[in-house]
Amino acid sequence: MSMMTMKCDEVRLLLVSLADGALAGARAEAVRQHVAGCARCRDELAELAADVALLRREEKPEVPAYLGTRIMAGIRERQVQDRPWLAAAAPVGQHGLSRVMARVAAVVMVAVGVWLGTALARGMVGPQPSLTDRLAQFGIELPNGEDK
Amino acid sequence: MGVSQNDDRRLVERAQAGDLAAFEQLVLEHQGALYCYLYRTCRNSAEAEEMTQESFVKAWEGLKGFRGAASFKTWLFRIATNLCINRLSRRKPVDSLSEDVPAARRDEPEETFRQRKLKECVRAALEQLPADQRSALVLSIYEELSYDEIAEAMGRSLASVNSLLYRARMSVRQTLAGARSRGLV
Repeated sequence: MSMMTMKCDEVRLLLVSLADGALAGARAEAVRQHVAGCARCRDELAELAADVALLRREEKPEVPAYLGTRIMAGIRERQVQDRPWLAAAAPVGQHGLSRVMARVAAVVMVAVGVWLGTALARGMVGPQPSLTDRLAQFGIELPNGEDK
Repeated sequence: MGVSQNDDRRLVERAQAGDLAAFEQLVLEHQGALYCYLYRTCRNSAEAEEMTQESFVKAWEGLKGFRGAASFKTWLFRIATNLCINRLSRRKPVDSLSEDVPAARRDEPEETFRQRKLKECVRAALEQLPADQRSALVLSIYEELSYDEIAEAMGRSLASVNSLLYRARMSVRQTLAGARSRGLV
């Protein structure tokens, strides 16, 4: 393609790129030179520019004020879906892990308390009866001074 | 690299380390542009909201894979574009511009009426386009991305973007020429 003598058919394929500033160098210069001397291509370039101007006259869409909140809620919801234990903890941050550990500690303490209570009731822990007391349960008495 | 891209880079690094508050800053920075892009492409506010949310959710989930070759914004727009094109491709073709000139409502200010007609024409011009042409056009006209940036955002070659935009602009020109001839704009 001769850069100095571009035909209308060739130029029209490049007018959009030229209008968008996407054409550079010798090619862009050749297209500009053609347009300068061709009323038909010049009109077409002007129409392309007018279309863009018209499209841009449309008002910018209004972004909902709550959109950011909605987005972050969606992310947190997805986190919980992927890791259900997060639902019992604070949002990801420095206090989340300590809250989980506090709950685990509470469960352990309750379990220990139940065991201890049961053990006490069965006499397995706590102050042990003396030998004299134990033998007395079976009706046996020790002579004085032998309770050791 | 501009100031805002530097800020983005720092926020992305913090977010990649698990800092959700840093990601929230990215959301606040880019939600507006992303919503506008998606709204202009799909022309439905509820869908645009949904896709904006889903784009950011996918970005958060895939953040560790973001290497920074492109800007965060471009990467985010790529996620959104894939989402949007998939959704629009499942839609049935819509009717072209209505033959009836939308009548002015009683007591409607002239500027409001003019904007309503314009909105109708823009909607018709864009909705006739296939999803990929529509995305490319919105990125070019409204987001003012360069062809290279559009190629990056759409995951296409430069030649493909050239072709998409040429066909989109020719189609839009035809629709708007019809609207002009009917005195709609």
